[in-house]
Amino acid sequence: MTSISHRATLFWYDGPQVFEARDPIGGHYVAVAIEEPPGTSRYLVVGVAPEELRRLRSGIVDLRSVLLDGGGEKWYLTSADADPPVALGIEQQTGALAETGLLPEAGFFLHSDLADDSTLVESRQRNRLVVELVAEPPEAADEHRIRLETLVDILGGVQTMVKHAYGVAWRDLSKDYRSILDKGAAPLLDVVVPAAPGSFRVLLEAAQTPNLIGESEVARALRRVDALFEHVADADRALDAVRGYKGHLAGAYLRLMRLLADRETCLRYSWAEPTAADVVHRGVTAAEAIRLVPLLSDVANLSTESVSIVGEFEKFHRKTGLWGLLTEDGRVSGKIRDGGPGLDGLQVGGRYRFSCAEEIELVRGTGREKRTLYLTSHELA
Amino acid sequence: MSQRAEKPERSFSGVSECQARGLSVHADRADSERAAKLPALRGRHVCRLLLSAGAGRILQTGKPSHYTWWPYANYDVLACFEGDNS
Repeated sequence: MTSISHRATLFWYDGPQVFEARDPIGGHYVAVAIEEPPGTSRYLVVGVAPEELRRLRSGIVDLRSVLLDGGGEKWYLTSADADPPVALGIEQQTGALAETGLLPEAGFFLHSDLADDSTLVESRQRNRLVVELVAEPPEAADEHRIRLETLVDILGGVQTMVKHAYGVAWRDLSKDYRSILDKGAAPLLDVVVPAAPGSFRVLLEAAQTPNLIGESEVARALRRVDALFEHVADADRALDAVRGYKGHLAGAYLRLMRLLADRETCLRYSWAEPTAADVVHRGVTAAEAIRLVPLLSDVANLSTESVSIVGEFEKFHRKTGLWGLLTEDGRVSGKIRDGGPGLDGLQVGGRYRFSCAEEIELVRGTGREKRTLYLTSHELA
Repeated sequence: MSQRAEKPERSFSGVSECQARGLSVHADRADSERAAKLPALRGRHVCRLLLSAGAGRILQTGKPSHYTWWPYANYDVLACFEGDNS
């Protein structure tokens, strides 16, 4: 018996009605829920060519045609006891599929319209949220070219901003909903087309597949990023928007703006989910970034976040100003700042609450972040 | 009927228990008609309903027009169906 595993739900209504699957050697399948006895889920499964699957996802061809093309003589049935189905053994059936009555009616398309925006087309074809980034540095004026360092810094800056935007979105989610998510992976983007024709254009897609109803967690982050880019032409409104996200997200935004200003680079992006009706387009010119950077830099504590830590006071190096606190989650270290509170009088082994300002610096050319905790106050816990 | 009511023992991964206990509705009739072309949903009637104050809570849980509706326990669900249904 062949086995297949669920890859992505293509249409969901009271459970996965249509999903795509793969077998252990990479073969592509489409499964459609069929009438089921109460309490069970049965699926008609058909092997399909990758190109047919792409056309189905794009809404170019209807489901019945794909199933008939792929499964005219070779088709399978399977039963699942979980939503979404995980690993499924499929049993080959005999007879002509067209005569079984198991097929959907003609005219079931995954999308009710054809996309005309290239980002939405890509998103549907890939069945993932897609972000298209276009960078226009000075070196791209005459040819398809970008400095390696600029590319690395832009990609790193964008991913960092999306990550912190997701951190902001995460705070608004319910505890129950958080429990079914992977916070570390949800905001990650993968580069899937590193250098498409045109101005320096890079295609990214959500690292995670959409959930059962076609939504990507990273969209929550992108909506916050959109808010920051919405008013870049109007400095006052741009500042108001950034003040609303004070902390690491605002810091990441400032670092990206500084990078674009320093390299005189314009950045545009657009993004869409496969089920989206509209594509979001945003961007900032080099001139706008140059105008925004000093204004953002003047906002006090724009990029610091307040952090409170409770633990056992472990060590303090007077020379370097470094301290360590042993918490339930492990060792946390930070620094004291000139003019800030010191640690004289604290007992090693005593339990304290440290209030800190967390600041992040981007390590240039690596996309990595360096976090530092600066002590702002302490008390016995 | 909610997914949970239809499948009391089923494990729903990626869908919260709260959502599994809601009712699926579409804001756009065409989306319901499209769904009814699928084999597992074939034969289901598409009905128009008007949700007014006191009907419960509703949240968009899919695109383009999929919503989940949680009727209040004392709400008469059948009373909100409008005429001209097919």
